Amino acid sequence: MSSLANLSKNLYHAVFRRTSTFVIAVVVLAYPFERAFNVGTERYFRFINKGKFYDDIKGQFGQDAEEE
Amino acid sequence: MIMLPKSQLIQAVSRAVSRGTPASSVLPDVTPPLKVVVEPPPKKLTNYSLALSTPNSAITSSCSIAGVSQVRWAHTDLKVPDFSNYRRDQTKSSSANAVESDGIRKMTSYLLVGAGAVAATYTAKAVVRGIVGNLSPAADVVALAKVEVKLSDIPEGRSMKMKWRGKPLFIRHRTDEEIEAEAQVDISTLRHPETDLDRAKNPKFLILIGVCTHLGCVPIADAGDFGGYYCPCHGSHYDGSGRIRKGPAPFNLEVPPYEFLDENVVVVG
Amino acid sequence: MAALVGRSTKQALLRAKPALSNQQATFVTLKSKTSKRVAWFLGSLAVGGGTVVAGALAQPTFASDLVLHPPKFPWSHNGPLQTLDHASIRRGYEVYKQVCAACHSMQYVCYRNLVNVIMTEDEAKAEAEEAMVEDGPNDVGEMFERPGKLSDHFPSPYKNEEQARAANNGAYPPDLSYIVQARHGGEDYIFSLLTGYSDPPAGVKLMDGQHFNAYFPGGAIGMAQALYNEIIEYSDGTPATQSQLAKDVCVFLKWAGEPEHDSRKLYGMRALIILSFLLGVAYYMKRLKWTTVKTRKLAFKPPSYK
Repeated sequence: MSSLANLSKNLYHAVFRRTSTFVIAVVVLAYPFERAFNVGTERYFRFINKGKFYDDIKGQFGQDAEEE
Repeated sequence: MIMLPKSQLIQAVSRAVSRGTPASSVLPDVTPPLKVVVEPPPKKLTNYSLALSTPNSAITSSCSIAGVSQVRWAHTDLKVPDFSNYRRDQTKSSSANAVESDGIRKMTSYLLVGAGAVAATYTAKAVVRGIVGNLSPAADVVALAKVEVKLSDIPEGRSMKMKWRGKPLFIRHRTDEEIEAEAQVDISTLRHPETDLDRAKNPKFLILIGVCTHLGCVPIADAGDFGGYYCPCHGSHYDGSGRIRKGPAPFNLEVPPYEFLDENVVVVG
Repeated sequence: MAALVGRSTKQALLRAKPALSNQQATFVTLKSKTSKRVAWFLGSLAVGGGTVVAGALAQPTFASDLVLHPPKFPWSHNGPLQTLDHASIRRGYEVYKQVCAACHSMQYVCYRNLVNVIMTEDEAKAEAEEAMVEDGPNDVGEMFERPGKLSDHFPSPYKNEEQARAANNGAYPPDLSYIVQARHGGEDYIFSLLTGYSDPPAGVKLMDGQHFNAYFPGGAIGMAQALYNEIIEYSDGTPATQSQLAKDVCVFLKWAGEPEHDSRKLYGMRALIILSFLLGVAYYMKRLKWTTVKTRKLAFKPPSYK
């Protein structure tokens, strides 16, 4: 598609051509990436360990001993 | 040519030159050496011998003022090895259109490197946070930084002294008369003007750090001329709001940060 | 002499022997196919790994190794991405408090460590207040007792090691804060020990006050069997069988010795993902930058000797 070629051409001239713009783009993208990666991995970790975390068992040990 | 030592030749010629006679008359008679036939070296495929056989007629040359001026040889006998392992697939064939594949070629490289740079930035941030965070106070120190006090333990008119962050902490449950008396003080007469309400969020309870602002002794509660504290070291008198009234201390007794969790519980720090 | 004249008269035949006469014109390249590189890598790995295995197998057996090793139990936290079971930690705390704390201290664990791991802040505060803690000195210089706070450590049953030994027939009940890391075999060993009491086999003589446990090095342990069916009641209603009690207290002790266990595995997973991606990118970048070097062609054009 020529629009894709156009997009890559503009991306190259705007961002990748100069090292300074490349660095700025990398640093700016690192913040949302960090948040997304941390949230994603934590969610996956909680998923594979469902039922074992404290948040999952919070209600079980109340004053009135509930059945597990 | 004549085979003579250089020095002899020069000497003979210089003599001839100084006398003004032609040099040929003084030169000795030398028979030319016999012609020696030297066998040509065996033909080898060296760069040298190949260079001798490179064409000097089949050339292209270009000459221009502002452009490239060059002479190019046709190196059709040189073998160039196959570098296709190091080439991009889009440009391997000689008939491929480089302009069409330019976007893909550039973008794969730049995007991969950019993604790697983002991941490396993430790693660097984590490492720096870990190292700098190591300098922050340890969990047990943070746990001792705040103290919770049950105010119902203090009867009215009495004060309580406790240790907080290594310093003495005074908590006084004030009576209504004391609160009234402090509210009526004219702050313009004070060395360190502060209203009572500025110092005590809940006027019923006065919470102070019991360190004299002069040289650091611990003042005595319910002593002194102003119904507050008296520092025995150098005679500083503080009033019922901990403000300095008489004596060498420059500032009022310090009020620590605190919060009332509810009617009876205050968290200091 | 001939060289001198030759140079001054530009006679090529008299020139010194050219240094290039022995040179062969060849291009040196590495036919680097991916399959060949992979084969080399795997081959060297196999040779290295084989050496290590052969070395390990060649070790002699030592007599001190002759002790009953605990089996490997299928703990729910085994595995590189598995966390501890916090419900089990909570039950284990109850077992420790009601059974073990009578003799064993845990002086490196604080009540605030329990917050958001097995109980809320208020619950932990209530737990702390149940214990009397020595504090002081007060205004007149005396030590006094007060109810515990979150920042306090778990109280020790004995004042010092001597008192502990005197009360336990000369045997010191070790502090349990890091016991899982301090014993070979970890929680497998602790579990086997707690459930492994038996009558001494024929011929084994025990001194007064000692008990037989095949998992304890030497066999003669000072601690009597502590866990029996239903000696305590769990607050969540789990049946308190001996193995359940032992399992829960082992998970609690594992947490006490490694409170960072869960976040360590999470960070490890993140690190492995990021670093393996970076490894691939680094390989791509190396190959990209080296194309100029790997495809370098040098053509030597000597001057003509005519």
